[in-house]
Amino acid sequence: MAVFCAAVIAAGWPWTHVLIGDRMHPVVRVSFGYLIGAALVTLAELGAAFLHIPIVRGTVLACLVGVFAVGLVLARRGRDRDSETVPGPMRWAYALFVPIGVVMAAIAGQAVENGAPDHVDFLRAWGKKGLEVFTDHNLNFAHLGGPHGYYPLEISNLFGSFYLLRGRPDDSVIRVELALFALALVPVMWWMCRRILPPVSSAGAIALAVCLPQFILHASRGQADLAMGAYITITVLACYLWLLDGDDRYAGLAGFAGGAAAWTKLEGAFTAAAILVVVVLVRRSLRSPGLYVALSWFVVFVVPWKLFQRIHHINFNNRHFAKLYLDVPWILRHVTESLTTFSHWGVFWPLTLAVIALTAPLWWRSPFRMLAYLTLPNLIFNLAGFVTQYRAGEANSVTATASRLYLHLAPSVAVMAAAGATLAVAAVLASRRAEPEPATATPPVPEPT
Amino acid sequence: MRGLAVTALVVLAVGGVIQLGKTAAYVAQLHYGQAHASVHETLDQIEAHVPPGVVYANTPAHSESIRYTLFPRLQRHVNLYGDEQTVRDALLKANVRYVVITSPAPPVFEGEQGSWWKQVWAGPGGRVIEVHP
Repeated sequence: MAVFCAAVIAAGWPWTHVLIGDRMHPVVRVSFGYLIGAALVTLAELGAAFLHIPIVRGTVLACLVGVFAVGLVLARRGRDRDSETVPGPMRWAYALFVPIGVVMAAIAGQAVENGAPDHVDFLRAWGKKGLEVFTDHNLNFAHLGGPHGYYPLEISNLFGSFYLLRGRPDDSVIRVELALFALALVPVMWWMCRRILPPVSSAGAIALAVCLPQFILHASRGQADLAMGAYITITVLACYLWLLDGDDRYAGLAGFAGGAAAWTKLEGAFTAAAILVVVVLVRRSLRSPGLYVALSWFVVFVVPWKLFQRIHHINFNNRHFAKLYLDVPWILRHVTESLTTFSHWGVFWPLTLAVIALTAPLWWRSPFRMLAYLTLPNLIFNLAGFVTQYRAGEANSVTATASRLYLHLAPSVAVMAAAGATLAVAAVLASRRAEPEPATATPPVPEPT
Repeated sequence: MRGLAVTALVVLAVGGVIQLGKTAAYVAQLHYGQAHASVHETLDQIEAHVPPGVVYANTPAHSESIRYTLFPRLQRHVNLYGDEQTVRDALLKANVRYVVITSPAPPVFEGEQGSWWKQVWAGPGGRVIEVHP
């Protein structure tokens, strides 16, 4: 598993120069490398399946090498740039690294120690699709019963690739592949947050995002939600940096991460599309720099799988959208109950939303208003999932899905809350400075005459 | 404005402490180590009972783990859904010799009804094997 994950990171490494092109710490580059490599290698496998090349061990190796080689060629075109970080003291940030480190250690321990995942979604969908890649050597899923054929392939192809390289469907360490999405998100968030927030706020955003029972639970459970959440977080932050930059500097990363989210879970296409549309609306132009680069990456991840599904008669999502459930108060009540369940979320949602609401007068008059545009609409749009869901109106269905749907958005909401808190601190400090000097207890000593 | 900012920071400080406490409690109760038999151990149990090459069937509910386990080795398996006649027909048609059920068993396997189902599955001359992963 270690060798396979290292190969995925190596495949994605040169693409960090292509998609981001900024100087960064090697740990950050490794983290980006895994997230980028996992998406591109699994997409390359779909490309091989398009050409009727059997998905065998050699194909997986060729995809790893091919992705690396193409990235290397493209990366030679330019040199990495410096990017500015927001200054500030590191002391409190170091203090926040402690709980973040503890959570990361717990996630890594679970991934290594807990053996094969036994969650039903792994057994019935993601893991089984990986097994089909191993047994059938294609992506047709001819033996797959049930409605899971239309699920995008990043996670199941990752599983299948490891099985093929291992020579047998060994899922005793398969949790590691998923846990790496959670572990990689931390350095990536740090690097991206530091471009917009001081150190303590960046560390605070990450601590808020990862100090969550749901985050820890999903980090190695066998489902694709946390992986998609990682890509959505990058999409939001890259779009914000792209808007701040005013040029096309982060457009490629934004489009790539949005596409990768769509390649990870079906919901990713809708969530990422909503974020990319915000960029167009904020810029009020379809000719804004980098827009077509971002859209191209999004299309590269979305369209081929749809075409492949049609060519190979893989079932489309025929269950959702079949009927509408429009009892909005019922949906709101059950989603709220799910998101305020203390054992699942602690106080994450009341806390972050309260901070965002209380600091709204501050961020509304700052560039962070654009971050709010990118972050907050999907909190509403997610509710649409419960209008169109095939088990709409069933309370246990909301309980099962609301936590996962909102986990996709939790890290970016944490960043928005940290941005609001940063402005609140600045406002308090500014008001202190504006106050008149308090009268001193000792009268001034008169000047000697 | 200052009042809102201070309130936001107080909310963040109090909520942050509660959140850290909750996370610490959650991490402290995490279980490390395999909570269930691995797929391979389950497979070993099945293979100890069933000679290779025969056709298996899996039972209706809660048997995804067995189906998942067997899938790489089996290009066909039978879902035992439906009434007695449907199930018997399916078993005969597929020449099913062994029915694998998992434990903890779903309610359908328990009590009198469970025994009846086991008889149905064993009817065409097959054997019911209970695996305890």
